[in-house]
Amino acid sequence: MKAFPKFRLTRTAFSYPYIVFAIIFLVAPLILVVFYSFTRQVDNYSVYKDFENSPEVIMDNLDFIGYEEDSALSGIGTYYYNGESLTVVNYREKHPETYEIFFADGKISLIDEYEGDELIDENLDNVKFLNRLTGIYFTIDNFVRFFSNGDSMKVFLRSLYIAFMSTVFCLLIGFPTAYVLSKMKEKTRNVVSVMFLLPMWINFLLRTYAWRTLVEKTGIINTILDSVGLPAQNLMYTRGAVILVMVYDFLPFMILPIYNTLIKIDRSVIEASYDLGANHYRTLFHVIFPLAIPGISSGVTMTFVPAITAFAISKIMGGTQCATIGEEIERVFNSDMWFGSAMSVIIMVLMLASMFLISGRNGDSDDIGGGLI
Amino acid sequence: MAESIIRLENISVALGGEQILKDLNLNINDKEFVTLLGPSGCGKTTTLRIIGGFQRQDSGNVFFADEIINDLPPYKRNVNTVFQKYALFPHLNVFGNIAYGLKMQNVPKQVIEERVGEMLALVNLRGFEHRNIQSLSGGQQQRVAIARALVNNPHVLLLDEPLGALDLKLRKEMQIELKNIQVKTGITFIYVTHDQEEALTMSDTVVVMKGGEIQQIGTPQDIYNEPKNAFVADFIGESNILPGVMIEDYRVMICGILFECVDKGFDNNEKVGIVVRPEDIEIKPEKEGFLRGVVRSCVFKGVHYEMTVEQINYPYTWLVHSTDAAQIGDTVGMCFYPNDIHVMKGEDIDYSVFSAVPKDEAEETEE
Ligand SMILES: Nc1ncnc2c1ncn2[C@@H]1O[C@H](COP(=O)(O)OP(=O)(O)O)[C@@H](O)[C@H]1O
Ligand SMILES: [Mg+2]
Repeated sequence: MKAFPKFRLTRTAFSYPYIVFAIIFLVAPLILVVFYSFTRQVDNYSVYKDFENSPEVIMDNLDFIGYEEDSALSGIGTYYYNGESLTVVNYREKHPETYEIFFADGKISLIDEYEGDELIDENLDNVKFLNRLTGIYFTIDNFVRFFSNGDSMKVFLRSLYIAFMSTVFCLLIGFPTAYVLSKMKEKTRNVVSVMFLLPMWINFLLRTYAWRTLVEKTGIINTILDSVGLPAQNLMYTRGAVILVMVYDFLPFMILPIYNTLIKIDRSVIEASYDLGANHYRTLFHVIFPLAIPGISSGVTMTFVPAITAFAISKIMGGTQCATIGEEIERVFNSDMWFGSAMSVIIMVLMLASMFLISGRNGDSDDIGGGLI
Repeated sequence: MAESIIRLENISVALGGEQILKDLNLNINDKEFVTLLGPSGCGKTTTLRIIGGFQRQDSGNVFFADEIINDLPPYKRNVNTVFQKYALFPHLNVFGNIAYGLKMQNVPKQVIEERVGEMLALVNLRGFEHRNIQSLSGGQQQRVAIARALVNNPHVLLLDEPLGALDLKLRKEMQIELKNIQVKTGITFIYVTHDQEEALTMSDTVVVMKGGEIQQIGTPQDIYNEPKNAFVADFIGESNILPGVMIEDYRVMICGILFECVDKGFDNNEKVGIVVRPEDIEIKPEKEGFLRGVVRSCVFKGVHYEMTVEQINYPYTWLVHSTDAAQIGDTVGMCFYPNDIHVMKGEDIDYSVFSAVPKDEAEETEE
């Protein structure tokens, strides 16, 4: 008899809960979203009768895709799909005749298989009921719609612009800050980095609302301007306001990874640069900056990704004129989750591609350290 | 007299509340191969960093060709460094590393390529231009570091234990190569090591340091043959160090026997330290030696046998290198000649730490 395999508590065993967690909460929703993005549900049914084709011709063109119990019709609904439209054939016990229910281009046709009779009211009720249960079919319509629809493209490009500008400003502020921090003495450095991290402990919505009270029409900045006799500025509901708050919110995510790579740079490498005749600026440009690229790229990813999908900030600071793709997805998702899913899949692919590009470019210098925090 | 290229004048440095260099004075002549030798932590790297401009001294002056360069930043000094752990640029390939110094001086591209080619030939790395730094062995990285530092044609090259990470065979090869490079280029080398053999084989001048102070400066022969104090004697090769009394010029009393020697200039009857190198002692039959002792151990070391001989009537155990083996337990005679006796000022020598240890301690350690 074979010995029962013993469970051994190895180090890998500790990762199992996480793997299970990942499957349940990451992989499953991901699969769902991808599935939704490639499907649609037939909606806006109206009923008409197919007079042109005989039921045999219709049936010949159909592929069986599955069936479902239908209690209201007290029978089995069988689903067919011909590439364009969905057909449900329902064998009813109530009536001796069998009706075909044909969905074409989002519309339903009911066919009396035997007699070509018109439908009775009773069946119409049943058809309405059927709509709720059925009608999922595969399509790339959602994606086509995104790229052919000027509105969603516009929102998308606007979010790209806002996220890009926020990332650029974060980098412009973050790199010098991280550099100065890394040069500080250990004690001051700790104090200062806490000051940078402190805002992260405040709820992010609260922080955003705090900014709103600052830049509102009757807000603090305008009050001050007013008291000095300067004209009030219209800051709210502009892209500038959205970018400002995004930079404020995401700056720590830029500073930290850069700072982490900077403090890991071997001091003697920098000295070697001075030794070989490079002054401080040239050393910064030729040695420190290239060696900080892993940190910069993870900083860029960590600001760009949340910036492009963020929707609370643009909603609070930007109003409807500055709706970002995150906001758009949220809005669309409520009414049309298939289109919404496709939008989020597009964003996701874009993110992955850009991350791949960024990290692939300096993949061979991984051992310098840095990377994510 | 050769002209001075680097001069340190009364240099003192404290780091972290600790005095690292104490009133250091050092003159280095042009085209010389100078080695700073001393145990780990004695301040060799700090001395180099002061010359390179990476460390500011608390007091004292640094001269370059008789000009004070205290305030000159490293990138303006005509000095280049081979760093202790190479410190190559990890984001550049071999070519990029070597070309860096020239690029910083805005040398035209064509000249850079030429010079890098020359440097690669000098360090035997032709064809390695496009190799990644991480893909090189320790010895190859070392060569890149040397080429990178030499490409700027510095007046002075500072080398901080450049061979420390290499295995013995490679180290020996590189010692010869480095010496050749120094002769070929005529660049002043200031070389740091804690390996006395390396220092003796490569240098024109050896500077022995201890605890932030210079112990002795001299040619390798001087340092070896005429150690100024017990520390130098012990640090440079193995030694038997024991107390003696200088009766008068050229006469010294060791273990109750009057020896002739080549030293003079001490007070009559001054207490001194005596250094006798293990290889200078001859093992003779019992009757023929000046000193008698019992062989306690005899280990074959390749070229010679290393023996410890416990002296009869005196609490010393002598270290002897001899080409002939002796039986353990035999009583033998030991003799040495006036040339082999090195006398040094020695009021406060702690003899217990040296090779000629008192008897009881030697026994303890043997168990
Ligand atoms: N930045 C520093 N802060 C405090 N102590 C230091 C510092 N750098 C070096 N030291 C101390 O100075 C002494 C000499 O160092 P170093 O010049 O590197 O010695 P060596 O190169 O001869 O081994 C050592 O004891 C070391 O601990
Ligand atoms: Mg050192």
